[in-house]
Amino acid sequence: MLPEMTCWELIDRIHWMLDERHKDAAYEGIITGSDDDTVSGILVANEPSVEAIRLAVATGKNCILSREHPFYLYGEYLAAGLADALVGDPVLKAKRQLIEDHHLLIIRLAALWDTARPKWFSSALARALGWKPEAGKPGDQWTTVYCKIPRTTLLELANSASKRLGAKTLRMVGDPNQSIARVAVIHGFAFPTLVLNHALQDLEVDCIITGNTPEVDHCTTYIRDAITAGRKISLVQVGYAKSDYAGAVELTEWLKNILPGMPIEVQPPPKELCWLA
Amino acid sequence: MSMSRRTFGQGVGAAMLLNGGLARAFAAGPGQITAEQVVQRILNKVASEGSHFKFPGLGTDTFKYGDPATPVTGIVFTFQASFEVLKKAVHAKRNFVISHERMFWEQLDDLRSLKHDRPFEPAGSLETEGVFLAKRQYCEENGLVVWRFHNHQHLLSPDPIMADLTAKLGWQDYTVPVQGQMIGFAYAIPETPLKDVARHVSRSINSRNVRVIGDPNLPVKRVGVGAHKLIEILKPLQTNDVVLMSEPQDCDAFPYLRDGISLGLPHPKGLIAISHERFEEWAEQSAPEWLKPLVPEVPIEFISAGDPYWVLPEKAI
Repeated sequence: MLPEMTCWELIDRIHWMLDERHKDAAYEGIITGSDDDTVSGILVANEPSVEAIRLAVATGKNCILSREHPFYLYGEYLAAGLADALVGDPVLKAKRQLIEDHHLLIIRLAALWDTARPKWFSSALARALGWKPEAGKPGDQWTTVYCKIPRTTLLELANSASKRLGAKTLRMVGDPNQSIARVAVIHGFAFPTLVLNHALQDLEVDCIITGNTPEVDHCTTYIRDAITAGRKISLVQVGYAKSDYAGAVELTEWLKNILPGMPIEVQPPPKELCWLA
Repeated sequence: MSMSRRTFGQGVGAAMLLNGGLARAFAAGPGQITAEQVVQRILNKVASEGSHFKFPGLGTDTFKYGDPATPVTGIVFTFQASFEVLKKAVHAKRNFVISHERMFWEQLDDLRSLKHDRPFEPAGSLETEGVFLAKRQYCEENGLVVWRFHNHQHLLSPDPIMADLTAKLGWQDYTVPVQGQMIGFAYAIPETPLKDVARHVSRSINSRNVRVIGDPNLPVKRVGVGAHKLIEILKPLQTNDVVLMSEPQDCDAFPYLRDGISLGLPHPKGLIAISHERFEEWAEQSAPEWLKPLVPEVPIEFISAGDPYWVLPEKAI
């Protein structure tokens, strides 16, 4: 007989195993369903997309554990006013209906992982890129991990990352011929400026690899200015979804260990959404 | 020289408060003009031309560095006062940079507190940050003055940011008005597959950093225009075949597009995402010609802030 637990018990179990009592961040927690609903199977999907919902239904999972919000409320300034603007939106309406038709439970946990295990998702990305992340110092809450890598150029690094992640739309800042031997890896959305500034405080870092950063505000222009100021540095954006996928794979294995018997699987890597003109 | 951000900020604040006195102390000689006089002429022109569009505030458009009473040797228009642009301005012997976007990577470039970012900033400060210090010191040593011309520029009618993008795309004859959207027009173009529309955009703005979502063979007859966030493109996505936007964030617009296309709904169908700089800098390119009749005293030129990203060589779709 399969184990049964409620949404609340699932989150409590995760908190217990992380040794972290974490208050839900904004737009996080049980987004669809309620504390008392029974979880009978889990699909780990960073983006609880329509594709992920269909996969969960097709494979008999009634719960999606996600990093993102099903209704596009990422948080911070991007979510300001968005919930109201989406009232009556046909995409949102159809997605809500799909979720309700299948009584799907969607639990969004994002800040929890970055608080309890700050290096987890960035380390997973580094490993997916073929690198070995260095152990963080005790008390280090930054999500950035650092890796020494065989000396390469920015262009070679970008090509390698493209192949390893199955991503074609990487965007780079810096000299393609720049020599790189030490990298800072930051999963997800590298924001604001202090996140990149902290990485530059390691003076041996040649390159920052992340999912996505803002352009004129905070991050990309900051790196461009650092280059002009004389810092040998570059920036590689592999795409937000691509940068978080390896973390979801490792998270899934961890969940299987702490929830023995519970049907759990990770969504296959989603196809890259964008293409270059 | 070394100066803390707080000290510097106090200096700027004092300069603003003592505007009259300092202006007299640095009064421009015969045939000269100060930065603040240039700005006043610009603001007068903006006021005289009126606008149909209202920004929530005009607080972005302030002096970001230097003494407003400085006599101007030449003016540079740019999309963003990056460190590289500042160096090019000095090389060209122009000491007044007019920048559409931020100078210190923050919406209001509030040097004293960064208070406007506080809700989103982790603990810490850029006060002793090396790039910040180097950029500021360079401005100090070279007597640069930087003023931001953002919201007021968008108040011009027609908005030169949109008009010059349209001209760059060669779509002047295709604009059609729309109601109730942040940007009040769309492009009604001859039916073209999305891949060809996207390539036209890429060639027109001279950038390979053009990311596209949607079926490459999608027939496109109508292109909407949006800004940077999902909330700003929701309506255009629902009323056009595809939307052209700049500086999207992967984590809000993209998941919405992914779902909309998966659901097979009539809309949204597609997105063409370009850099902020390649969307908006064309107005700065034409700004010198706009300003020359107002400020005949000094040379005025455009310096490109450059496409921020490069991408890997083209792969087959």
